[in-house]
Amino acid sequence: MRSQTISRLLTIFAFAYLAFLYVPVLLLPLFSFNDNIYVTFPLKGFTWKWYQSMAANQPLINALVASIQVGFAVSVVSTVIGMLAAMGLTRYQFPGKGLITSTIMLPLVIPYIILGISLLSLARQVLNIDLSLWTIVAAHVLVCVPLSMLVLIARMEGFDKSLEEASLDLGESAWRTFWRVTFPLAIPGIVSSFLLCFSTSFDEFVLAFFLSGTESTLPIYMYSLLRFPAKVPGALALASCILLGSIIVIVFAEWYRRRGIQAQQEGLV
Amino acid sequence: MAATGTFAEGRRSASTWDALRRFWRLHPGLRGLALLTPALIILIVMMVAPLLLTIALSFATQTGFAIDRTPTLANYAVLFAEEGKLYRILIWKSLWMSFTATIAVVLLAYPMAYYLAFRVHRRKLLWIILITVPFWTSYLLRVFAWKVILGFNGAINSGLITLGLIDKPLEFLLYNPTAVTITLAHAWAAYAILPIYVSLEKIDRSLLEAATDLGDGPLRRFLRVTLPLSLPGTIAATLLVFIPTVGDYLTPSLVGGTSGIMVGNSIAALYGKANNGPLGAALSIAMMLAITLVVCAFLAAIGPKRLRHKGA
Amino acid sequence: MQKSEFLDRLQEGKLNRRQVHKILLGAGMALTTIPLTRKAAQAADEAIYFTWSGYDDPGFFPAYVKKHGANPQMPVFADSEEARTKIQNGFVVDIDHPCSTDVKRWTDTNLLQAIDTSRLSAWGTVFPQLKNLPNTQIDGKQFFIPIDWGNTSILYRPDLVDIKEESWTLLWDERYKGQLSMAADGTSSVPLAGIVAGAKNPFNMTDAEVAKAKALLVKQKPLLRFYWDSNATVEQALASGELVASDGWNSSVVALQGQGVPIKFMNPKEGIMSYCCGLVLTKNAPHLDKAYDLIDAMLQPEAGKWLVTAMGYGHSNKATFDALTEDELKAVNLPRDPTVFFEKSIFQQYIPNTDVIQKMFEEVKAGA
Repeated sequence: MRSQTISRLLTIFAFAYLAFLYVPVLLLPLFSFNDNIYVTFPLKGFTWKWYQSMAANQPLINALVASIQVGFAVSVVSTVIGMLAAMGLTRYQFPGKGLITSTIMLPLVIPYIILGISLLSLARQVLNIDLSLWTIVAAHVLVCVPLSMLVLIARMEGFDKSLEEASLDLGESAWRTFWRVTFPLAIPGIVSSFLLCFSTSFDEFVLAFFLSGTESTLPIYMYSLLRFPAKVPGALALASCILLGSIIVIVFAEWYRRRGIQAQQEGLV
Repeated sequence: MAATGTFAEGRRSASTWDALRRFWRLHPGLRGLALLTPALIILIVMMVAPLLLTIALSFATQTGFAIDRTPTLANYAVLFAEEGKLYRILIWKSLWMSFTATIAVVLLAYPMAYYLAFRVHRRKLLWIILITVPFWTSYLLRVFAWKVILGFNGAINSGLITLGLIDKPLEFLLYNPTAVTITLAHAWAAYAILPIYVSLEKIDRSLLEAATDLGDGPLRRFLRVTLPLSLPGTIAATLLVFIPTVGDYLTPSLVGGTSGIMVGNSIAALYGKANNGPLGAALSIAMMLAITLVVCAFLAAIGPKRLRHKGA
Repeated sequence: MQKSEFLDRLQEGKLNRRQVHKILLGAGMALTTIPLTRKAAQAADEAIYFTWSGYDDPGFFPAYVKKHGANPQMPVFADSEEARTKIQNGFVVDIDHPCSTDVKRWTDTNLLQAIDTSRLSAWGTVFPQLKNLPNTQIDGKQFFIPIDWGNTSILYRPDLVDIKEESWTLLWDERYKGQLSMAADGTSSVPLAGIVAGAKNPFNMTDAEVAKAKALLVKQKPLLRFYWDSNATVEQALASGELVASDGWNSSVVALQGQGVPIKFMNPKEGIMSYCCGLVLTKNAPHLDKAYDLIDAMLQPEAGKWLVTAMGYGHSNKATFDALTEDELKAVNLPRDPTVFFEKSIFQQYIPNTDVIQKMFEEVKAGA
């Protein structure tokens, strides 16, 4: 096959795949304006009322904020720990590597419902800590560290140490070498890890349920919403707002990147 | 004299400190272990304890709400006996569902990751964020959306009817294993794309140029250079998707119809409504062992050497 | 750097990437830590009411809000049994909201304390039939306060279904293969099958009766599109025509009719099932007085009116029904005097052999 055909097919595939990812998601805003509590065709009529009820639904907004906070905390902590672990595993030799790797991967194998109940017992009956958003963060970190580590190992494996050695030889301290050589090279892995951990935590239900105190996260709130179909469109409105918010962030980031390039070019001229 | 004493002490502690430092320098592997300590601490405190509790529970028996802790193999006996045939079927069903879903996800994700790594030059971050954004909307609502697309009066059916291609809605789109696979392929997309992308991104472009210079066509270049080098990421993606999906009971129960019960549902029911925590624990252990066996077989088939590639 | 300086630099595009990243990280950390601590401090004093999402609406307890000026703290759950497990493992709440059939599980695991009904001003006008549902009293002490009740029957689309007779057997009708549904909850569906199988007491079936029920359920499985576990799923499917009939609750009828879907609630010859859910008080409730205020607030007719008109459920206080207008009652399909339901319907009860029933139903659901 000619490489140009392959190239074109690949591009078509990429955009088709993106469409596959987004079509279900774009249906959400569509139905959030539909004048019907049931998410079904045919469409009935345009209405803003679901957005109004969403804005008025304080517990829903609280849950959203809680989820963002938890997600951010989990991503930062998991990525840091995952990065350290990935560096340890890919760049040093010591016995027991296989065993250590498997141990760290364990949280992926155990069903969350068991993990949730056991962690709850651990927290309340053994350690006597109160349940709160922080206990949720702890549980999510437990399951995100293996994720983070996997992604970062894929990035760091076979890392060319000579770059670091050169930096050290040229007089940089170990800490600065990390920041200026290792870290930038690992950035695709770090960003991926961050995004994966955030997505996982933001949408995770089982562990969050068992380890939540009086504050709920978004998935907990939404799952129990299903009992009241009248509240579902409000959730759709919220999901649409989340989508809109993310797109604004993306647009802003892109705009900012462009300005950065522009400024550089102007500087040169 | 005090001065001498201090000097002597100073020298002794200096030498202990020196000895430690020397030990540290002579064994760089220790540094590796040190880097792993945060991860290991978390694991040991939060993971090992629950695991041990579960294993211990699997050797107990429960009647009503009372748990009798005298160790017994009764639960495992049940799993292997005629009585436990249902559970064996469920484990098998779950493994199979996960297997098909994983293949679907990874096969679809690979070209996407490839495109991202090799064809996108300036806006990589944008694409990555674009790929993960759908997963920030609630999972439940996305499944709802799939039901709307695949369902009776859904987008596909309405569209086909309007176009006049069919007169009655297609019933086989939803509430069966295929719907489960489609929904899972959507739900795990980001988890598959990102590790593969990270691996592909790292490949030294000069290797590809060298291969072309030496006469390889694009297909051979892909098979001989790109694919093997992207193996760590692909394997990571496969494991990341396969392992948790075996225990997933939410997706099958929402779109799988009456055949949508998986081992996860049983475990949840045993722990809760059916009041048989020990059997639930035994079933979980059995499921985890089954997953481990499959994963080990998979990794063995790939070959340990291929996992250990060091750069070029 | 100062905010104005930041904005200036931002405009000029002079901030380099590293600085932006530092700022974002700082902002993220601030976002994460500050509100968490402040909100926790504010809310810590109100009663903790662990309940189904959707009940966290002040319409259900206006008297509490009036007295204390704030809502109770309301963690939510989606599954009553998961909620009980969480409490059993150490989660501290004042009040939970199970159904009467579950109360025995709570008392068996020693999680509750008796409720002093003399402290409840509205207790006098609560329907007597709801006051002593099976297993809600121990030694004359009340452990369960009924709040909401409803009926389970067959919801069907009269425009898509041709009824031969009003009977539960519609859910076994071969003509509608692939268009029927049953609850995934064994404690509801198995007694239903028991009713059709002619069991003497569908909530306490003998082994032979359980076997007959099982046979019926196995026969039914290929006719079902799915087993439903939330009313949203059932209502959606009935609204779109994917299902023509399913078991369900009267609140679904109200909701579907409100959206203009032709729907009817059957009155089967074998009898309608009724359920009742309400409040229990945990043993180590930290805010005892406020908890009593909340229970009383939920019993008031003001709250009851909200429950009936907004949710379509029945309320346990007779005073509520006396205060409703004819139109309001008609809109939710409830009679002026609901005691007729309590006398005639098959009230859901605690199932002594729950484990056996659940195991059997799981086998039916999971079997090939």
